[in-house]
Formats: sequence, structure tokens, C-alpha cells
Amino acid sequence: MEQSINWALIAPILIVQLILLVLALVDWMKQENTRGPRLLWLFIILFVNILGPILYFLFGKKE
Amino acid sequence: MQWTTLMKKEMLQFWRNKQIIWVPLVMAILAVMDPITYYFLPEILELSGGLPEGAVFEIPELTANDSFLLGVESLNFMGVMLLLLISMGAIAAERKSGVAEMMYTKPIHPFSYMMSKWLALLIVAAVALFTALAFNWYYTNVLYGELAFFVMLKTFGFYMVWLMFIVAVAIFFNAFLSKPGLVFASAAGVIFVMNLIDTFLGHKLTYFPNRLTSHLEEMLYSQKVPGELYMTAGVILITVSVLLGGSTVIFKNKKI
Repeated sequence: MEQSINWALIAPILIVQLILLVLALVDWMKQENTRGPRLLWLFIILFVNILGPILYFLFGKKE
Repeated sequence: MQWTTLMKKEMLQFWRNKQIIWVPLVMAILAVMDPITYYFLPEILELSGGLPEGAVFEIPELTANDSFLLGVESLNFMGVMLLLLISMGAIAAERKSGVAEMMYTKPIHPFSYMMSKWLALLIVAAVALFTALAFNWYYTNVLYGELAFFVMLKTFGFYMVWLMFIVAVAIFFNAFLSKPGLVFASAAGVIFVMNLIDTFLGHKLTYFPNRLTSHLEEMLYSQKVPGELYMTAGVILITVSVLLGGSTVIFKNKKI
């Protein structure tokens, strides 16, 4: 298969994904109490593509 | 001014919990998923085993307009749900944590309190919608060909009216329900029923709020703004004022 990466197509998505990841990680570090095990959230943020950070923001934090 | 102080407090909160950043990014992803998936459909079919020998499957070519609309339509469901998720606690959560009681003891007019909530959420919604449409516009241009930037701006303006309505519905339920989950369920229920009405009776109710997207579609294809679009937007704006006025009255009389 021809492998040529179309950067115009992929770069924006990659950047968005990166920002979400960093944002979630910084927030996770500041958060002392999460809903559910704290370490589990780290793995979700790091290894669940795109969806991980979103899930963390939506459900990971205590009020 | 009371107003601006309240607004500042709201915006600070959106900044602290990073909603003002992640909500727009998620909206952007939602908006571009469909146009991109559609573009790569032949490859995706190929990868998942391909079609049986001799089968002919014609994928209709999308124009730039079609692609842009695809993105806008995917906001109709997921985007709206996301917006409800971030607005479900606007007042309900404050009631739970005790901040709302504090508000009652201060000489703050309920209307400024309501408006600050609604406006702050609207700013987040506007940033999110703009990011989403900008991404959508960019991908449409890269994948399907030229689409005028001005068209994107017009779509932004009219779709924003629809989002004003969504947030107003959320604020309305916030005024008297004290559980964020309940607010979400009620608001989503209302939107769902309205969608049903639109599906079955939409062709008769020209100015029904949910018609806005169909009128937007017309605008994209005919290159000019149809009168129905203005009328529908007007109907929505009136509904929004009624909802906000109603929530203020209910909130005032509820005084825990």
C-alpha cells in the first residue's frame, strides 16, 4: 500500500488530541480526589484515544 | 455592576474547570467525523473485507455543501447533548453545594443571576460552535472543494440562535430542579419530543424551532437567506425570552 501521509488532513486532529491529553493530565495532577480510583483515570486518559480525556472531564471529577 | 461581577465569576469557573477549552475541541471532533468518514468510505469498505464479487456500490459524490451540512447535522444530536451536559448543573449544582443559598441572602436580582448563567454558557457555546464550524469548513475545503468563508459565518449566526434555545431550556429546568441529572433528563426529553414533532409534523409547522436546520440547508443550496429562516429564528428568540422570564419568576418564588 502506498504510504504517503496527508498532513493537511491529519495535523489538525493530532493537535486537538494532544491539547486534550495535556489538559486532562494537568488537571489530573492537580486533582486530589477523583470519582473512582485516581490511578485508573491516569490510564484512561493516557491510553483511551481521544475519548479518554473527554471521559475524564465529564465523569472523573468530584463536584 | 452586579451583572459583570456575576459574569466574571461564571467565566472564571469555566476557565478553572477548563470547559472553555475542551468543549470546543470535542465539538470540533464531532463536527468533522462524518465528512472525513464519508470521504474514506471506499477505503474503509475495502479494509473491512470489501464487497462480494461483482457487487456494484455507487457512493454518491458529495459536494462541498453536502459535506458541510453533514458536519452541522452531527452537532444536532451529540453537540446538543454535550451542551446540556455542561449546563445541567448551572444552578442545580449550586443548590446542592450551598452556593445558591448564599445567592439568596445577597441583594442580587434573580434576573441578573439567571442572565449571567445563561450568557456565560452561551459564550462557551459560541466558542465551541465557532471552533466546530471552522474545523468543518477547513475539512470541507480540503476534501470536497471550495466553500465560502462567509457561508460558514452565516451558518454560525443562525445556528447560534438554536443553541440559545437549548441553553435556555437547560436554565429553565435548572430554576426549579435540584439534581443536575434530573435537569439533563428533562431538557433532553423536551428536545427529543420536539424532534419527534418535527419529524412527523415538520412539513406543516414551517416556523417550528427544529425547522431551523432544514432552513439552513435551503440557505446553503440557494445561496440566499430564505425568509422562513428569519421567521424561525424570530420564533426561537421569542421562546427564549419567555423561557428566561419564566425561569426568573419560578426561581424567585422557590426561595428554598
